[in-house]
Amino acid sequence: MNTSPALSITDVNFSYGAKKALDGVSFEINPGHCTMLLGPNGAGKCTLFSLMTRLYDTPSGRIELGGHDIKQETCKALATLGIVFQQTTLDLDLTVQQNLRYHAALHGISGKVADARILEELERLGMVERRFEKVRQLNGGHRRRVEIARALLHKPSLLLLDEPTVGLDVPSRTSIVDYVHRLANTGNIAVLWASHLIDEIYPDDRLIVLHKGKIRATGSVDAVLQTTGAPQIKDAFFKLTQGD
Amino acid sequence: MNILHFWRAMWGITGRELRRFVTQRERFISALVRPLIWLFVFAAGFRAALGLAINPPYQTYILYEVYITPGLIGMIQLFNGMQSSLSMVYDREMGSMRSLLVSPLPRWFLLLSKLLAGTFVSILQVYVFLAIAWAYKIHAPWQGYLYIIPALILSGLMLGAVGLLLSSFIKQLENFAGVMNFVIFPMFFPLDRALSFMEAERIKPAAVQSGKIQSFFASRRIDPLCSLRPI
Repeated sequence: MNTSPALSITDVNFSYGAKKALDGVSFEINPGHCTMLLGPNGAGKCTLFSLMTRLYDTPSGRIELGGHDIKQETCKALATLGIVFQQTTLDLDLTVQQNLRYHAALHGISGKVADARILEELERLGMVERRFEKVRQLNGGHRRRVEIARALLHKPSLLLLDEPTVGLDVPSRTSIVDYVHRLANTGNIAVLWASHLIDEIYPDDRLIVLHKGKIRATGSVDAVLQTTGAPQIKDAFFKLTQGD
Repeated sequence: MNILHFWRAMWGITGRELRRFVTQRERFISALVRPLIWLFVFAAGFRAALGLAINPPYQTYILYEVYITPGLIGMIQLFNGMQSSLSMVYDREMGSMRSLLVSPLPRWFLLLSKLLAGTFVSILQVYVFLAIAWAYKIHAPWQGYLYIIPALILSGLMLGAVGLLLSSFIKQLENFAGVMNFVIFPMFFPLDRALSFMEAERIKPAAVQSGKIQSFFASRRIDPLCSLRPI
């Protein structure tokens, strides 16, 4: 059994020219927890996600997914990863089912197994009836649900969500936040959720606060409140993200 | 990761390109309209105006429609290569390229699969075009329809690769139409000059010399090299 953390980041640095986007970032996340990566716009969350998904090369430091170094064992590392990007990445001209089968094929899942898993995931997200509809016909909330189903199709040990609720109405947001937290509580998957929306945090979540490329705080909600001396997460967040 | 994984992924990518092509009816129709206009309208017009001399490997006079058909096949593949390139730029802008790039497959394999998928789609278009041409009484012996496949694969890969190269330089979708014209239009002239030189020097590519391409229209009524000239 693999006992490595689902995600381990050690001393990662990244710059856009002279502008430093990430400065000595290190943390670990394990299955069974929903970890919220908090940070204002421009904190470095998207850059960090691009490094974790190998969209950008890591110039210094080490990123391991499920114990596999993203630079040395890229394919093995990416196989452990499910991701929902901030911008929708579904093919609008294909149906929900076709999009999911395409993803399954990229992960080497056979047609039969893929069909069974597609039904299972869509059932959980209440999207089974809409699987033959083109993605173009779905609203933002339903597209997000399809993307979550897609990210879980190959049974990853780590789920990355990059501000997945941006632009959604309150019921869609609530249902997605609730679903992902329930998923993390099953203990089989680690969730890293990048957000700047404080109300998406549950009391038993872990927090990582990123500001101007540096980690300002990590730990449970209570631990962060204690460290900052703030009564609420909102206040702690403002305290941690002020100044340089 | 094993061979089966690669195989499934390649079929997945090819299937996606094919589905996109077939479901986007406008794209499917417009891909065929261009060569068909050349075949039905221009060729019919030039047929009366242009007299075609007996020119090796032809042993007799041929109709202009027959003369132009291999060139139109080249045109279909050329435009499909550009379309694949546009599709890459679109995928990058719309974000669906990301889902491909974060899949657990090497980048070279993803590029190769994209290239093969585009080539497959272009060959499909060529055969639909040939079926319409057949109905228009441009007939080839049945073996010819098989012998052309390797040539179509090679030319499809080459033109698709040019398209992929272009897509790596074009960052915005808006720029694409201009660049596409900029690339395609001058292609006709160097080709025309090259053909003239080859004819003058009696140089022919190995495939033409070996007769593999000519056997497409097996009665040797068409020389593909010469037939590119009118396009």
